[in-house]
Amino acid sequence: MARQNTGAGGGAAALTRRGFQAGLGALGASMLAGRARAAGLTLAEVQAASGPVNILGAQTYETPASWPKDLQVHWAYNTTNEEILTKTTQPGTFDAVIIYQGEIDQLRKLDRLVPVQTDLLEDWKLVAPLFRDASVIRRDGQVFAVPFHWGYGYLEYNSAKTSAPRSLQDLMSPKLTKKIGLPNDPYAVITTFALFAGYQNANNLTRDQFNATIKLLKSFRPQVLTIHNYGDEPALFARGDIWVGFPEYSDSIVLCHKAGATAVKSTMLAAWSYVDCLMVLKAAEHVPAAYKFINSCLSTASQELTTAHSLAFPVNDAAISALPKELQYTSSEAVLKNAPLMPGVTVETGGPDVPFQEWVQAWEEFKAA
Amino acid sequence: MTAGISGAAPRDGTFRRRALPGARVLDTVLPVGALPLVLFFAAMLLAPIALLVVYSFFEPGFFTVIEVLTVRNYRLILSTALYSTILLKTLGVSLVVACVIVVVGYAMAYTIVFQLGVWGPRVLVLVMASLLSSYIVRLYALTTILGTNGLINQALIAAGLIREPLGFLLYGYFAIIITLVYVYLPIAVLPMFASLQGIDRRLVEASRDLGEAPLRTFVRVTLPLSMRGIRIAFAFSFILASADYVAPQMVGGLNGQMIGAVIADQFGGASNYPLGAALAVSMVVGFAVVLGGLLLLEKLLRLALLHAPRRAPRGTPAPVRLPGLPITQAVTVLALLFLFSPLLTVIVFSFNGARNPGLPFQGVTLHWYGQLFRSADFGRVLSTSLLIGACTVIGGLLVGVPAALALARRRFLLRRPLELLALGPIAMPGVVIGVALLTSFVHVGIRLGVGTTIAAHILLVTPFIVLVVRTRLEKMDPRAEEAARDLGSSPRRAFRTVTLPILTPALLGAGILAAAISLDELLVTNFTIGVHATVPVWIASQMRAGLTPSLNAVAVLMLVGSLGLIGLAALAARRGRSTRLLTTLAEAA
Repeated sequence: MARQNTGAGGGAAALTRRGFQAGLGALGASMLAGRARAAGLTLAEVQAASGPVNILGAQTYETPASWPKDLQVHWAYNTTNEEILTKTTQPGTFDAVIIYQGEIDQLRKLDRLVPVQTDLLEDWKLVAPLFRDASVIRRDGQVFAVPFHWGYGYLEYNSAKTSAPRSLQDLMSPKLTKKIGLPNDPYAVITTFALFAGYQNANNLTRDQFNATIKLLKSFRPQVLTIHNYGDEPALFARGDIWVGFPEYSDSIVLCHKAGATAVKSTMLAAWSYVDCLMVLKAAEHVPAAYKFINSCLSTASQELTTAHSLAFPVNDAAISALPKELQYTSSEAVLKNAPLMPGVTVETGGPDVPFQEWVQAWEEFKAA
Repeated sequence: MTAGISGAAPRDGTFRRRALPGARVLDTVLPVGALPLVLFFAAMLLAPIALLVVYSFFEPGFFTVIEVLTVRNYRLILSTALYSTILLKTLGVSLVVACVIVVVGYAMAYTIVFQLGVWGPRVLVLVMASLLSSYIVRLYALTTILGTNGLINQALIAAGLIREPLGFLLYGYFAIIITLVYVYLPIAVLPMFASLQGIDRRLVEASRDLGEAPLRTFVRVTLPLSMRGIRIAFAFSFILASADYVAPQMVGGLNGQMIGAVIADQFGGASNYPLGAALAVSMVVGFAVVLGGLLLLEKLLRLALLHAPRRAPRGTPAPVRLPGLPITQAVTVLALLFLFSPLLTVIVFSFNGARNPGLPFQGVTLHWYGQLFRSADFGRVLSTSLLIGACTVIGGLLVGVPAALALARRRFLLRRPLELLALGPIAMPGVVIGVALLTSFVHVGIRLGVGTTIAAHILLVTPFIVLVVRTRLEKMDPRAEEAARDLGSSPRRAFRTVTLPILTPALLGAGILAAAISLDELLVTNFTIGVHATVPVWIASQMRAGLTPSLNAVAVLMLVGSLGLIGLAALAARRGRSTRLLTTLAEAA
């Protein structure tokens, strides 16, 4: 999952339907041309593509050495997950985005996403079948997101200060009061507490399940010292501010050790997985180049580079060796068995599941309580 | 000679009216010089904000609005404890922050103006230098100082003063207040310095000659004459602290949720634009209510003091010498230590051998500087930042200087509205300006990128340029220009040969301030930068993977670069003794 920091202006622009249509009109010719080309694009065109391509993604995946030399990749950064929605407000600004699979529904609801033609990706076959065939990247039978890297959220603890927590009860111990850090990410935290509450479909919560989860979360408040941004936890552990942090992601434990918090260990308590994906935007102006870029991200050499840079798990198993030894695993299946891959939270209101907007609201209430 | 000139240089609002050079009674509705600012702000501030206000009366859609008029959002704010509590909490915390800042900042400004002599301008430059580094990195350095095993706790334990680390230093209201004071104190010192600097020393001496004790002289002469600066400093601190949600979130723990974060969330994950807009409007109304209330309170207090029965003095007044005691100097020294500790931490930890910009310190290395210089990303974002900064300075001066001239030298019908308009961007939270601009740019089909960011930065820096240049113009002795005119110079020549040279330090000071603001701006830039990135956006993005000492190195380079810029500016301003260079620059600031 592309991590969320709420520290830096995570907002978006309002756009009325009329305004959106006006914007579409203004950009009409180029956009329609781009879309038409996407529909009739051939593999040869993708292979021959050159020139600019505009990508929006996390800095951790920015590895210029892995990019095709004939593409001029303009990389812009998102600091929160929701910024993907903000920054793609203006049609044509970006050709492709990198974000976790949970954002597919949001981007589709905003009519900004198109299905990916996997037959235009030569290296699609290099993606492990577990991810290539995953339902979480599909909607209505079509692929909307190309798996890029994956990981799971796990619990970290300072083994010099506390033993490995084995249950929520352990985490509620008075010894851990004001010694726990949670990331400022409603999706990650509420998903974890839904698992603590015993709901396996932690992203698809009915009203009652959601209320029970939030009640559990609120009862946990006395234990919490920080609601921090992702990336802060190595320093928090190193300074001794927190003894436990969850959910944290793949590279966190390595970064903790490098930061001097050498006693930090991890457990798979209430763990779950995500997959960061490459998605093609409907208003992309450089569609062949976007496909060429996406394809290049799947090759073994490229996956090794991005894996070494981000410490996120590769979707091409041949690149697992690029991970530091302490993060390497033998089988993705085994990991996913202990940390199920989540589909993301619906944004549709009126259905059986509580929509993501209400997750954010509940999170705000928790923080402000 | 033009009518309406008096002999004395203007010292405060009271004197200014009759001291305006070239002033005639309401000579126009709006001078031509103010037009660039008015037109630019109308397009870049008023129209986008008006759009947001309209949105606040619409129904929410998903990342959009449904054009059905309603007051539902305001009703929700008033009826939901979450919003009203956070709004009140934010205003309350900011009020405390502003009070602390005004007290400490006033002591510093007083010391700089009245007690440090030639060292005063140097200390003021030092105070300003504490601003010239990355905001996020400086905040991070504060956590290194205040953390459980942070520098303060370690020092206290080593000294045997405590056995267990003090837990309240970080992650609570104490940390929020300390951090916000740290961030906005240098900005607040400036207007109070300018006010105190403008006081005619002869008035203070006259009071003393007439037998008033130092404390009474301070209360009855110095303080009233510097009230304008205090008001501006208070308003600045209060508004900026209220709108800041990054710092509280970083150091406040469970108490760190402020209204700015809730607004940002509405434009993000909660996807409720109308509620976000309504919260933003409520916040600005909150500013107006609090500041208006305080202004009213001040007037009532003045009236009460004016009409209070005065007791006849009995014998010699007690020799209370508070303003003369080293108390203000001690506060200044402590405040400087407070301002520079994080900077020092940033510098030291930029050489940290561990992959952590804070504690623990694991050996000295130049690795992070090397990594930075080898990084193609950093080169790219730095050049974008420098381009935007340079264009912002030029654009800001073009828009701000004519408006400052108009405000300082002309009397016109729309003077007060223009003053308020010029301060508008300071009164608006960054996230609100960012969202409003993004909405507007998309609405009219302007491609987001470097151009839109330059325009946004010009909007943000112009208020500071107007303030700096206007203050300098008002302190200028109008007789100099009048003398040139009397000796036969045309108005243009008099301006070029007399006014402009006097104004040059102010222009340089304003330019440096504008560049510093532009180079460190994140909240608005993040919305307007499109496919590009600036240094702060790059730093914020890097936070996701954990900060490294290379960011400390960035902050150190920014500091060194800015100080170098100040040095060059000082050299360009005057080729004289260093003290004089600093004086002119400090006065300009």
